[in-house]
Amino acid sequence: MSEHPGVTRAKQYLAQFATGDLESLRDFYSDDVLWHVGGNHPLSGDYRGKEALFEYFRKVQEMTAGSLTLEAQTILASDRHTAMFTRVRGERGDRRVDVTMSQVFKVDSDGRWSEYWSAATDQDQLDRFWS
Amino acid sequence: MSDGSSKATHPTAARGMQLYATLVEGDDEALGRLVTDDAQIHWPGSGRSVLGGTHTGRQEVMAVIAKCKEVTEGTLQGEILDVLADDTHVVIVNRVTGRRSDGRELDVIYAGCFVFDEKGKAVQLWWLPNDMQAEIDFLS
Repeated sequence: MSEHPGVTRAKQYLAQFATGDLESLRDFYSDDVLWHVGGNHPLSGDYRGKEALFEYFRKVQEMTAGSLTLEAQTILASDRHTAMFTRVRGERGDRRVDVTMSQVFKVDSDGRWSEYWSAATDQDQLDRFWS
Repeated sequence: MSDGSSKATHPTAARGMQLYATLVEGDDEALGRLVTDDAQIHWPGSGRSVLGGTHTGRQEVMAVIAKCKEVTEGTLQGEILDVLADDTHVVIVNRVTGRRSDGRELDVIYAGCFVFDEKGKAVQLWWLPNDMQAEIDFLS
């Protein structure tokens, strides 16, 4: 059975994310992307537009010294949504995070991600990591 | 990993939709048959929402659903927008609306994300609003 294009796209994204080259990820997102960061920590909130989103990504990369890794356990896709169950690990000084995130992306008519929301198996751990 | 495409007719999708219906309707008796004894439900908003946090064990999962039904005054209605599934995972994107007796309204897109074990019972559940603040305002 052929792979849904949304799954292929998500795999490409994860491979490029692993290189640490944030700029290579820009084409995955629509210009007016809305990115919801859940939880209760200084980075929580909504990021509107590609510039705000990549500023957030740069901040995350800086805070974790590029140590954040994403390992998809399952990727699901339709023409309108992509979902990933992802193990997220990283270090920030002496803090470590290791959680599974349930992540949902809304897909626009060009196949780009236009909205994102998520939560972790252990949100308190994630809150402590970012605080 | 499967091909991961959206399959509303996939057997796991049907199971997910049954679970989704019990969550929206607050049918804790049916819910008890659909989740494992050690199931966990992850509800965002820990410390900010009366339902927020990770609730572990069938009784706690049932309790939080009963609490949700109580605080929303049984007014929640769901409309399924998309279903994504493979053999063990289901994501149901849905619009949930509700109206409390004091006039507060809810209109939020949720993703019900479920992981099933080999016996077809849910072991991990996430109930994710795309607008957390709207949910907190409605539930508080």
